[in-house]
Amino acid sequence: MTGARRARRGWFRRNTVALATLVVAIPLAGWWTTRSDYKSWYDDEPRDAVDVAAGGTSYNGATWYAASVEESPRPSRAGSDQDELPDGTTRIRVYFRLQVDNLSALDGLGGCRMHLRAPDGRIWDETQLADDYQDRPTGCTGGSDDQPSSWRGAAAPYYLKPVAGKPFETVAVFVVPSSVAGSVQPTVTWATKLPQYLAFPR
Amino acid sequence: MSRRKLLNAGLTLAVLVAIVGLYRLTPTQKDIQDPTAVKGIPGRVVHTPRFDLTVDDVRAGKKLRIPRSTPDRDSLTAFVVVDATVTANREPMHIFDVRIRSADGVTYLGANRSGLDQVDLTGTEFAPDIPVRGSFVIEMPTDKVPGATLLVMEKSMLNDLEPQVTVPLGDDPPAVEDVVSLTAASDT
Repeated sequence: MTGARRARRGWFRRNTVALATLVVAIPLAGWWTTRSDYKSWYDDEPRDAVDVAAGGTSYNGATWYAASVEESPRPSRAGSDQDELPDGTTRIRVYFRLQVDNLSALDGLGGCRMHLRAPDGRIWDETQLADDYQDRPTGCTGGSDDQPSSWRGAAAPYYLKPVAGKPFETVAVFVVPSSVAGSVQPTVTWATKLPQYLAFPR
Repeated sequence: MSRRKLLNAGLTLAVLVAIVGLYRLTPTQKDIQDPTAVKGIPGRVVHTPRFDLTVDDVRAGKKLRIPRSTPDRDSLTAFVVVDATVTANREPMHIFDVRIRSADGVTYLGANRSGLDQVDLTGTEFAPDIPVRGSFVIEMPTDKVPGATLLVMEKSMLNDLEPQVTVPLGDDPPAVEDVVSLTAASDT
């Protein structure tokens, strides 16, 4: 063995502890500086499903029951002019059913967003122009009606205010490609609850 | 002066030149984080992770007719209308950043005339797998169109390293009509 090689081996032996510290410190520093970015990226999208059980699941201050999903629903109003859809798409109407035990819990439900989610993770937004198919209040907090219900006539149920301890329904209407119409799953997300989202099995 | 001092001065100078040179040559943070070009050609689909875009046609006119809106908009230059088809891939999204960069390096932003965002593609929400046909409108001189490039991105800010659809619009100037009319964006 030459002198130089022996000296090099001696150098490694003298600095084993320092080198081992580097092996631990460099990945640790990388994780430490990027973890908050990673966390905010991870928390930015709905990733963790909270499945709603058939008998009801308590989440975000309300009890959620199974949602009913209807493909190509009939308009709730006669003479609808919102029938036309792009080729290869299907309209889907979802009734969400929930109950609050205390009306103040409705405040925490505001700002919810309804989506349909395909098994591969693609999502579709609610259709905005769908009055003819929306025969319940939209959103999560139910209807509000300051008028006496008699004033609304036959449409009164659609404006119904939620009552504590009694389930009520809201509606969301979607347009999705026909190829996924049979497999999409309704979901509800709140920006404050991400990455969790509420998933309704079909 | 001794030879040694001369050598030291020379070395110092060389190091200084190297420092300045390296500083000039190394890319800045902005260079590194520029959008990533995804190249395409008119008439063919350009795929990006979040949306697909096809440039169908390029038209131009001295005035712009916006559906359900009067009067026809006037311009000191011209309206270049890029007809395109857009499909989202993952989730509902909008396209907010449309521009044309001419051959001489000048960039023209998408027009923001009143009422335009009601009917053009920048005001449309795209949903996965549902193609939407419509138009982007850019106000620019038509003689700058030959050799120009259409640049389309999802977001107009905080878009470091995001894909940017880059479609060269060809070397032929578009025929300039008196009034170019816009078709409202619609799902096809």
